[in-house]
Amino acid sequence: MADPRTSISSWQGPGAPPEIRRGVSGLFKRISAMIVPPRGQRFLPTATGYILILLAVGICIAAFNTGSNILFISLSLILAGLLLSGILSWVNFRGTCWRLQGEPPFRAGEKGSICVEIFNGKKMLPTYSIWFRLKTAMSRENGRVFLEHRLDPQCLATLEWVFEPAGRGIEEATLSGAISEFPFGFLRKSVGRTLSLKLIVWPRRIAYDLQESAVAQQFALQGESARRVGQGEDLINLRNYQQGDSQRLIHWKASARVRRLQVRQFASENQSAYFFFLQTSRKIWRDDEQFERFCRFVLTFAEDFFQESRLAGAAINDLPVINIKRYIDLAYFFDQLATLKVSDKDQKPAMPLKHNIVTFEPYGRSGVVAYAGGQKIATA
Amino acid sequence: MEGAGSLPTPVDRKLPQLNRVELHQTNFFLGLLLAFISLLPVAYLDIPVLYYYAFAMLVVSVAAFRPQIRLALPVQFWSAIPLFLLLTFTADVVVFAGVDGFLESLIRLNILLVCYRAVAFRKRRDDLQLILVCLFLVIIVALNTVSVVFILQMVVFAAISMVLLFNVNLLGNSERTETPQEVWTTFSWDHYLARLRESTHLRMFGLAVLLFVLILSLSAGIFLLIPRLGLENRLGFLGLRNSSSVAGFNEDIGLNDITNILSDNRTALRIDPPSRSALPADPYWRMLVLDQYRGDGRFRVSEALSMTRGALTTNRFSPADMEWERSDSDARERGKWLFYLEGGVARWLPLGGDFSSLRAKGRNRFLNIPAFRVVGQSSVNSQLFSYEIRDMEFQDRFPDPYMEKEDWPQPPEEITFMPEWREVYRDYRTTTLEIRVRERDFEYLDALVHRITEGRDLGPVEFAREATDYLAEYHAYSMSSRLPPGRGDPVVRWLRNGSDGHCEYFAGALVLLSRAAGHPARVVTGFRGGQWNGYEDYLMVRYSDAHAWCEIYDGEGHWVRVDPTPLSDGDGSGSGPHSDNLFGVGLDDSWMAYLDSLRVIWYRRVVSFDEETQSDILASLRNQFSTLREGTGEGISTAGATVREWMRGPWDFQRFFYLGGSFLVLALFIFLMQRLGWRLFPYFTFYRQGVRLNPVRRQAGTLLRRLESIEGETCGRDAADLPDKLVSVRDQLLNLRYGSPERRRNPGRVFREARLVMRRLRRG
Repeated sequence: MADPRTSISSWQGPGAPPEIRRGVSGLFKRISAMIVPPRGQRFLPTATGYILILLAVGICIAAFNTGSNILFISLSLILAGLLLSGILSWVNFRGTCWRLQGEPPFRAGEKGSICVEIFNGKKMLPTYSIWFRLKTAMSRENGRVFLEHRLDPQCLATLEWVFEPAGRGIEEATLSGAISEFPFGFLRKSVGRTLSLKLIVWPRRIAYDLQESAVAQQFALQGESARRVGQGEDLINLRNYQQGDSQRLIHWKASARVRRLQVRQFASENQSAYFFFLQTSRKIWRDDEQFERFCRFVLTFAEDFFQESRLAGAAINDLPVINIKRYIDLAYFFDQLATLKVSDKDQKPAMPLKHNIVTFEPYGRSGVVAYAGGQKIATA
Repeated sequence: MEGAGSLPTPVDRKLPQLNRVELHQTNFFLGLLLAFISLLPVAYLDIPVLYYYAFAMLVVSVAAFRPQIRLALPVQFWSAIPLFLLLTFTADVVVFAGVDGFLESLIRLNILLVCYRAVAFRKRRDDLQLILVCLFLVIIVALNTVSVVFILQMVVFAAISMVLLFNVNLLGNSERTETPQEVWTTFSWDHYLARLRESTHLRMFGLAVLLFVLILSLSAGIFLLIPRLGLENRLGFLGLRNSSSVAGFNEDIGLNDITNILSDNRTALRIDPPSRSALPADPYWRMLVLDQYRGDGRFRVSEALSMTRGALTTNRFSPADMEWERSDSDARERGKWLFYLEGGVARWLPLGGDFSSLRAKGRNRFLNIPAFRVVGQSSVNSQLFSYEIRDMEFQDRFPDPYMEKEDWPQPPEEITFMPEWREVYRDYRTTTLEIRVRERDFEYLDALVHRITEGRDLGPVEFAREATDYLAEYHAYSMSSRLPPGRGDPVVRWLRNGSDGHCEYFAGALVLLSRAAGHPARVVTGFRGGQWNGYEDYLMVRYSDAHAWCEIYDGEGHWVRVDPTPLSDGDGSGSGPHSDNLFGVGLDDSWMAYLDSLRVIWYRRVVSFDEETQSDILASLRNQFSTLREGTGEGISTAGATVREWMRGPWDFQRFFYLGGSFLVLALFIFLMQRLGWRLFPYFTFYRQGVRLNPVRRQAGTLLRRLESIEGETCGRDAADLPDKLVSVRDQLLNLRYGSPERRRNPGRVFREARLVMRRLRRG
């Protein structure tokens, strides 16, 4: 199973790298594998194949009955066609491998895509007509992706499957082997074992009421410097370089003059920033639906705060505080949020939080309210 | 690349390939081609399909040249066609063909179906249906014509079907669908052909050809190895109605029936003898004996003998099974004779004489008239009929126990008053003596007999010889004989007139003269002679070799062959029939004979392939394999002995030199292969040809190299210091060499300018 953080599975298929391929070895085993397909491989005639088999049986009966060599020729051509079909099908899969790759972020209720990367490792021959069946466990969506065009030797193609995750959490996407009816559509060959990929699905966004005046009041009284580059365009100062600052903001001439790296400081750095403290105790969140609403509210609120450069960090129960400066930090926080569960015990933050703390509590029967400094600032 | 395991770096290559619309178009044209191939040989069928055939070919041709025209037809039109076809078929069966002609109606329906499926807009299942109906047509036509064209047709058919199925499979590998309007509205042949040419890779094409050769070899192997169970046609299979035989080989013939087919130069019979020496110098191929003269120049098989006709349903029989009296001659030519009788010739099989056994493929109903010693089938085959005869003996005397038979069957009492039944039960011995002519004609015949015998008491054979001489003296052979007008029997009139005649006149005259002299005589029809085909060593007997001659009863239980037609003894005088060969076996090495030999290869190797041939071939392969194995073993031991001998020899400088040199060459080869590998053979690189064959890129590259060298030679300045013209030309050349093909504008002009600039640079 692939790591959900990487959203990428290992290669699979006859052409996968030898260290991960679990194919048959030995000449005899390889030959016998062509007759008796190994585990994970299946051959089934298609409707066309059944028609051809029926036709062959009919011609066979007529040929043996009449002894006509014209019919024997037709029969042998049909049988040779079937044999060649099997050989070409085998050649088509040879050297071909594939893997699953998710393209995060995935959000509940929004379309996301999973890619099947297929690589043709053959030296001379292209690969044709392969398709993959994909499904997701949580969303219960099924779909197919097709390799519609020829895949030339040593080339890589990406087939995209779009699906809509139903809810937050760990979604498991499954690719059930590669299927092909190449070359004539007589046989359906299925190769490769099931390939799974775990994807983190963030909660769905939610509409909420923000009490602007309360927020403004809070920011005015207790705001803490965000100390990171915001969107404001007013240059107010030059300051020393800190780890995490973008290189684009370095003021080279000033740095040369003072012999120390200096970066441009914009107005947005001085905005107030807040920490989100999330408590998931069962005592607080008795209703599961309300807890889900809480997660969605946190995501929406955090995302909006981040865009306004007002989010400094977040802490969940007794887990270490996540300092959120870049998008990757925010994504990590959302990953945590995606798998957040109601906890049965009370947990306190691992480190004392600073001034501006936004906490969340149930509001009414199903709502959620956010407090900052004990004052209600938003409800959902 | 991320993830567990590493793969080679993918190549970013975009080679042209047909898009879905073009694949649909290719599909359509492949279907048309398939229809065309399967319709072509329908013309050879001996059934009324001409109008259907012409219509289908016309529609297919129009659709091929203007495929867009189909968009103009409404959807209802296409929907109504299947119903129309069904009605046409029903009407054909009910009104015209009937149950007996069901297969003919089916073929006509099949032609229309092929045409409809090929021309209509097709989906995946329609493509498959087209292949099936085409295959049915190909097989049914081949079964009923046994034509050598079949093998070529089947090969082409298989190739096109596979490409079509491949294409269908490519198109089916998607969830998208295209409407006919999307596919055909903007179609143009020029664009389509250009795209086809652009996306065709020669190596892939070569590979496809190789695969096809593989499939043919595989199919040949399967054909060879499929066990033949010899079920002998126990179930009826689709076969057309039997055709009628040519007029000269019927049971009732007139004076000009055989002459009418003498101008036909087609091959009617092919005979594969054990060897050429087994053939006599002047072979007669007996088919049917006509014992009764009905008057008015017509001979027939008497009703009485027809009653004695026996039948045997088998695939092999011997003369004993037919109750033939065996000849005790030792002159029998041992070996296998294969006869290939073309369809529609006759139901009576040409035979040289007595034999040990006759074998045909499948169970057949063989007819037999023991008094004649002829073998026939219950009906005339519409297709080629082949049979094998073992140990044939060419005879000119045929035993006939019936002539001496005491108890000839008599009609039952209750029907003796009916004249037609009296005719049926007429004694065979009397029919061979009967002369149904007027009194005056009989008197003339009697007078002629006296003139021939000159009062001598001649035996039957002597009389026949004298009568033959008489006929040759007063009548010459001519293909264009004209019977003089008048009353009375035509043969007697011909005798009276002394005009020229052909074999039927001579044979008829001799029979009447012999009977007038009191000797039983009868007419025999068949072939005489033939042409030896030197390409494949077999005898071709053409329709023009058809012949009629006589058999006269010698009074001792045998019929003796007498051929009264002049030149029949090959004395070379006068002008006779078949003047090229003088009735013997001549050599034919013309190109027509070569084409005919191809048919015989087809008959020998494919049509006549059976269990025996199969076991012969397998035994031969086994022998060859064991010979090869033994030969290889011997070769290895000989080589080993040579090496051992060489090792024992004195080790001088020359020996060391050769040995060291060989090792060095081998080491060099291994080194190069390891370092350079397949790069030593650039032509094996898969897609190299695309670059190699692009003349614009190649030319641009050449000019760039030249330009660089000239720049270096002249001043070594960089581009910025060079005149604007030079910079511009170099940029354009770079674009042509490495840029996208779509951005090319008039490469010829750029090349000219580049050459001009280089010339100026050289001049300084």
